[in-house]
Amino acid sequence: MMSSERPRETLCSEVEKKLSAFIDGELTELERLGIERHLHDCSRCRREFDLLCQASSFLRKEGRNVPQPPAWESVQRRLEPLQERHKWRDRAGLNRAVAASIGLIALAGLLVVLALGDRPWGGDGTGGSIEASPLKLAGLPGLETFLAEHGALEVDSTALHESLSFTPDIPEELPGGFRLERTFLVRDSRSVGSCLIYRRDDELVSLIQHPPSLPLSWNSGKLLSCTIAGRLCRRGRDREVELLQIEPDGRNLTIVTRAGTLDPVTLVRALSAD
Amino acid sequence: MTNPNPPSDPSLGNVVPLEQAALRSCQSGEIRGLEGLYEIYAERVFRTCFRILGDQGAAEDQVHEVFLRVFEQIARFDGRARFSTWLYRLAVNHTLNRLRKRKRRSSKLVEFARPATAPPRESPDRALLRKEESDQVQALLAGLKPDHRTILILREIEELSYAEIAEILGVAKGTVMSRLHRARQELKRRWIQDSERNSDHREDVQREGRE
Repeated sequence: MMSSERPRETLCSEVEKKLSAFIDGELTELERLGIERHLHDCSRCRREFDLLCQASSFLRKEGRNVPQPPAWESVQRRLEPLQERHKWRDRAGLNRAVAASIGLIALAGLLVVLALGDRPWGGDGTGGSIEASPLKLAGLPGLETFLAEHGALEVDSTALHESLSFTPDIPEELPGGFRLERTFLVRDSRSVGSCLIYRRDDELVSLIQHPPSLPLSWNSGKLLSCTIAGRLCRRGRDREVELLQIEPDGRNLTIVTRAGTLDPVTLVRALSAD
Repeated sequence: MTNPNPPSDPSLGNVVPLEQAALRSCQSGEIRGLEGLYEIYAERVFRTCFRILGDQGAAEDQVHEVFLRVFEQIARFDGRARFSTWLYRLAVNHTLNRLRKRKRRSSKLVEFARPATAPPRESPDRALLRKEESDQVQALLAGLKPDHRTILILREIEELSYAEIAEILGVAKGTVMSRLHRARQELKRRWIQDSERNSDHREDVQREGRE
C-alpha cells in the first residue's frame, strides 16, 4: 500500500508546483496534458487547483475596483516648477556634454595626427601635396558630396567609432530626440576631426565638430551652415563660443550662446571675421 | 480544464498610434505629449500604485511622482522595450522604494488609511458590499510580502505576461514563474482564512441588498 501511494505523493508535489503556471497557460503541451490527466484522477490536487483559481479570480475581479486617478490638472500644476528647473539644467548639462565631447574629439584628433606622422595631411598647416581618397558613406546620400565640397578628403567610418563608441561623454542624444547613430573620422588637408550622425526617425543630422575648415552641419541633405562646436577655430587665431543650447526647430537648429540666439550663418560669419 | 490566459489588452490596438504620437511629443519636451501619455496610462499606473501602497492619498501622490519622472527621464526610453513596460518598471520601482522608506520610518505594518471609495450612484447596500470586497482585497494584499504582492498585482490585476513581468522586475522568466507560485500559495492561504472569517457577514449584507 505504502509503495503504491509513494509515487503518487511525489507526483502530487510536482503537480502542485506547476499549478500556478498551469493556470496561466505557461506550460508546454506535454506538461499541460500531464497536469490535466492528474487533476482528473486526483481529488486532492483538484481541490488545490480550485482554491488557487478562486483566490486568483477574486483578486482579478475585485483588484481592478479602485478609485479614479487624480486629474491631469493636478499633475500639470506640479510640472510647472519642474519645467523651470529643466530649462536651466538642460542648458548646463548640454554645455558640459558638448564641452566634454569637444575635449575627447580633440584628443582623438591629436592621437590620430600623431599616429599619422609626416603624411601630407598630417597637420603642417601648409596643405602640401594631397592624395585624395574617395568618400564613401553608405546610407547617407548627400553627406559625402557636402563634405567633399568643404574640403574633406577622406572619411573613415571605423576609426572614430572604435575610439569613441565606448566613451560615455559623447552626447547620446540632442534636444528634440535626435539620437547618436554613427560616428566618422573626417580628414581635410590640415587635420582630422569628427562627424557625428544623429537620427530622429528618418531625419538625420550630422554634426561636424572638427576640423575648423568644416564648421558646418548637414541635415538630411539640406545644408544648415551651422556648427555645434563649443569652440570654433580659425587657423592662427582661435575664437571661443560658449554653447548653451541647441534647439532643433522643425528641421533647423538654433544656436543659443551667451551673446543671445544666433542663426547659424551669422555665427559662422562672426567667427570667420578678422 | 486548460486556462490559457492571454495578457493582451484589446484596447491597445487603438492606443498604439496615440501612444506613439504622445511619446514623440513628450520626447520633444512638450507637456501635451505627457498629457497624452497620462490619459492612456494614468488609470493603470494609479491602480498599480494604489494596490501596492494600499492608500489612496499616497497612491495619488505617487502617480504625480511617476509622471514627473516620466517627463524627466523620457530621453532614456530607447524604444527597445514597449513603453508600457518601461512605465510599469518606473512605477513599480519607485512605489516599492516609497514602501521601503515608509517601513523604515515606521515599524508598524502598512496602514490602509483611505480604502477605495465607491461611485456615488450605487445603492448604499451595494456600495457597502463593494467597499468590503475592496477592503478585503487590500487586506489580502497587505498581508503579503511586497514582492509577492507586486507580482500578483502585475499578473492578476494588470494581466501582464510572464515576459513583461520579467522585464519590469528585472528578473528571469523562471523567477517570475516560481515567485508567482509562492505568491499564489500565500494568497490562497490568506484568502481561505479571510473568507471563513467574513463569509457570514458578507452573506448578511448580500441578503439585505436583495431585499
